[in-house]
Amino acid sequence: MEGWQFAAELSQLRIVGRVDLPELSFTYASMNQAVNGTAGGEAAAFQAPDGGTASSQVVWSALRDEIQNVFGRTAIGMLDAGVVMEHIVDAYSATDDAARTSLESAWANGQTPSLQEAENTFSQSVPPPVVIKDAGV
Amino acid sequence: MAFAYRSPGDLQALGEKIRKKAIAVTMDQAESYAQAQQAANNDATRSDTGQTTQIPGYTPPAQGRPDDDGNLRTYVTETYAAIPAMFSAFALPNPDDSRPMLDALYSVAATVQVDLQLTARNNTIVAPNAVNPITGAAQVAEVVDLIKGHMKEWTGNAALAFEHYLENNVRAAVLQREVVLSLALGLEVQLEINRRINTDIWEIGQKTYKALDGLDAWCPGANASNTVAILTIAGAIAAVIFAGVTAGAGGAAVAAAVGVEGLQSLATTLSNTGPLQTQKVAIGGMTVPPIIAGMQNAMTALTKSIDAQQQELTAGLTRFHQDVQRERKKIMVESPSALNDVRTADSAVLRTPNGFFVS
Repeated sequence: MEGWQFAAELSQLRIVGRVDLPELSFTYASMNQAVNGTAGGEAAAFQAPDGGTASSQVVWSALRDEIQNVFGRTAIGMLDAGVVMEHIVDAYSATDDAARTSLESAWANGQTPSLQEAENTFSQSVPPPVVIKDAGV
Repeated sequence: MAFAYRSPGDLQALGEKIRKKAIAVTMDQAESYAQAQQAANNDATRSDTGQTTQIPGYTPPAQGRPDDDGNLRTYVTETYAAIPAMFSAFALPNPDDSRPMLDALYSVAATVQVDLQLTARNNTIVAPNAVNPITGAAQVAEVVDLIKGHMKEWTGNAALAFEHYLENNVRAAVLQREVVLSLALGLEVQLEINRRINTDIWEIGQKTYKALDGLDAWCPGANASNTVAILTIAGAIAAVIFAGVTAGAGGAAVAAAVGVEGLQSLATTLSNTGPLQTQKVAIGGMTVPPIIAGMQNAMTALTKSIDAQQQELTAGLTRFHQDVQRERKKIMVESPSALNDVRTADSAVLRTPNGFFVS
């Protein structure tokens, strides 16, 4: 496959790399952030009588760090996969002038062609920075 | 019953009120007065003979007898000086202030996979009334379906590995939700323990004061003044598990967290704990000292029950954490190496069987 027909498939892949995977990354990064935010209240929630710390705190915190890291690393993985998708599109475009011309024309002026209805509702926000804890997965 | 938080200041004030009452009753009630005189004289003798006194650092008065009215008041004041600190030692931050932590966890649970069933809830357990996914976040499974639609013409080992990676992440979401809900449940239990510590220490103080007040009645000495403190701490875990079945997001957490793919939920583990129960501790006596001793016994009983509940929660969380570590590969899906292999590939390599190409 080549030319404008191939451009249509490359466009589909570019949507994956430029729209869908960043959205997944945003979702996982947001969950990473939300879980990380629980650390702020941890000392108060697990304070024990006499000013000590409840014995449950250490394992709760380790579990929290573990799932926080899962979300954070998945967010990074999704964003990285998006980079690979974009590379694949670029690699094919580099050897198929007709496909490249047709693809860039369709994506010109900030257009994103052929988005599904659900994709139009995506926040398209830059994923927030993830926080990876030292311990955990 | 709705939880009424008692601040460190409230507990300190309650302790001071009890101390003041204990001193007043001792000085007013004949039997307590006589006991205090005996104790003061004994301590004076111990001090004179180099023995350890009941009141640390006690030295006999420079003027007057140890048991005369003025010196006795000083002695009794020292005897009960530690009471306020005994109460403030149990002071904790308001558990309800930790609600944003729970909100965040329930919100993550609702984001990673739909959905939490919400019902009306009572107010014994703090849980959000509404659980919404994180603003702007998408449902993972929905996005993965969209991606698969976009990629239906693409094949090759790298492309297939990428699709499997996404599908495995959808499967992992079920487990990830389980972890987040168990994390929320663990926090719910901890906060319920904290609530009951606060409630119970207040109960001990109230009943101690009531018993002292009974000695201070218009017809003193006729009868012993007895009260019973009802401690609720031993039922903290059971209350969360029980209330969780029917109440709010906490309830949904318990109901939904049934264990998936080899991961037994924390709710299941904790459901093996003891029943919803209360503990009765008598506080009373004919004079002030046994009432104060009863108060201290009740505090000891409270401390033991706190330790028992904490140990149960810690053991449950530890077991769950071990399960999570055992299932780690299902929970944390690693990026496929086949995809990494094409990150710098040119179109010729991409068109090979290990590549990423249109069928």
